[in-house]
Amino acid sequence: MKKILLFLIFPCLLFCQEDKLTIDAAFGLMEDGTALIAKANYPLFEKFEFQGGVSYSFTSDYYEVFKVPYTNVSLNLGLSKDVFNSLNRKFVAKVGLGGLVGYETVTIDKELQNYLTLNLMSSNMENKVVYGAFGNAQINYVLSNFFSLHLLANQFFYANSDLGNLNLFAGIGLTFHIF
Amino acid sequence: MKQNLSTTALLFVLLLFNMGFSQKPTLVGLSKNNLSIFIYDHPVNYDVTDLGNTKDFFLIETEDPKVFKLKCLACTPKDHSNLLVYLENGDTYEYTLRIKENFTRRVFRETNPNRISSKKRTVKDSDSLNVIKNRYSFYSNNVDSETTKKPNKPKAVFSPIICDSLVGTKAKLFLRPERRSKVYFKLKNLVYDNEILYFLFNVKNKDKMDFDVEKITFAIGNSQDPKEGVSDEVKYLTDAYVPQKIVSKNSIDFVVPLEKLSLSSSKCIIVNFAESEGERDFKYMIPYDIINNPFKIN
Repeated sequence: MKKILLFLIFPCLLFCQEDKLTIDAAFGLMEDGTALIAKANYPLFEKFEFQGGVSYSFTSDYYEVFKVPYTNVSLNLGLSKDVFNSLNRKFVAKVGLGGLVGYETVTIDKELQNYLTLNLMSSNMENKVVYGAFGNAQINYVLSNFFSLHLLANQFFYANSDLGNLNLFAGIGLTFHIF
Repeated sequence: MKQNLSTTALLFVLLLFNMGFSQKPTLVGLSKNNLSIFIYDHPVNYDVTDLGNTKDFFLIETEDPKVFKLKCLACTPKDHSNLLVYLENGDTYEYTLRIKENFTRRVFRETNPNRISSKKRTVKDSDSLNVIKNRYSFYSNNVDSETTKKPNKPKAVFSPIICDSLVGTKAKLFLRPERRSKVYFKLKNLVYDNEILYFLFNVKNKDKMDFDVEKITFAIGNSQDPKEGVSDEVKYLTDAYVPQKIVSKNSIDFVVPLEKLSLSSSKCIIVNFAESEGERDFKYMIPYDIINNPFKIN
C-alpha cells in the first residue's frame, strides 16, 4: 500500500533507481503579496530532475481604485536541470520548466461590491480554475549532509486568469535531502 | 671522540633507566658528519626509514633481535623523516623524525610514536615483512627495482605524514554522501602532492551495529551508467589507513593514496567499500571533474 501511495505521489519512482530525493520549501515575495512554494525533486537521469510541488500565493490586484486581494493555490509539475556545479559542490544552480493547474480565489470587499452595484456593472473577476506554465531558477548552497539553503526565482504564467497573467516570485528557502 | 663516547654511554644508561618504566620504545639519534645512529631500547625485528624527500630508504631485517639496536645512516637535514619500527612482541610503531638544520649531537627530535598495530607475530612468520612492505609498498618496489634494473622514471612515493595530517581536517568537498541503513560514506577531501592523489574518506556509523570493513577497491566506470559497467580496477598504494572496524555511533576519517590519474568526461571513479559480515556495501561515485581538479596541500 505504501509503495502504491509512493508511486502515486512520485510516479518517477517507477523508472528510477535508488537515488536521492530533495524537498524544498521557500518563502518569498510576489508582486503585491507573498507566496510559499514547496516542492519535491527526484533525479530522473543525468542532471535532470522531476519537480513537483504546490505553491500558495496571497497577492492583490487593482480594479480601478479598489484593491482586490486574491489567493492562488496551484499544483506545479515540471523538469529541472543542473546547469552549474561548483568544483567543490558547494553551489549548485538549476533551471526548471513546467506546467501548472490551480484555483484562484478572488475576495471582493463591500466597497467594491457597492460600487459595482451602484454603477450597474459586473466585474469579470470570479473564483475559477486556472492553468498555465512556470519557469524557475534556483541556486543551492550546501550547509550539511541533510540541509542546504537556496534562492529561488519563479515566474508563473496563468493563461486564463482575470487578475494578471504573469507573476514573479523571488524567495529564500531550505532544502532537505532524503537519501 | 671521548665526548661522543661519554654521551653515548650516558644515553645508554638513560635508556636502561627508561626501560623499566615505559612500554613505548624510546629512540635516540646521534649524529656527526652526517652519520646518524639510532638506538632502540626494545628488541627490534625490522625497521624502515625514509629520509624526507630524498626517496632514500633503509630497511633492516634481523632474525635475532637485540635489545640495543644500532643503525647507521648517512643523511642530510630534511624537514621530516619517517621511521617504522617493528618490535619482537609484535607491536608496530611509527615515528616522525624532525631533523634539525644545524647538526648537533642529537639531530633527531622524534614525536611520540603512534602504535599502528599490536598483532602478535613471530620472526618466522613469512607475512610479517610483507605487512611492512604493504604499508610502505614503495620500499618493496624500490628493493625489487634495485636488484633487477633501475627504472627510468622513479616510482611515486606517498608520504605518511600527509596521510596523518589530512585526518580530522575540515571537508573541502561537499559531495552527497552514500547511505546504507544509517551508515554514511563520503569523500571529504582530495589532495594532490608529488604525483600522488590522497583520498580522504569519511564514514559515519549511526547504526547500533558496528561496521566491519572488508575491503576498499577503486575502479574506473562510465559516468552515464556508474553502478554498472565497471572496467579497469585502480590499485591503491596502501590500505593501511583503512580502519578495520567502525564502531557504532562513531565517525572516522581515513586516507587512501593512489598514483595520479586523470579521467575523461565520460568516466568516473567507483569506490567499493564493502562490509565483511553484512550487506551494507557502498558503491560511491566520484565524478571526473573532482578527480581532475584536486586540492593542493597547504
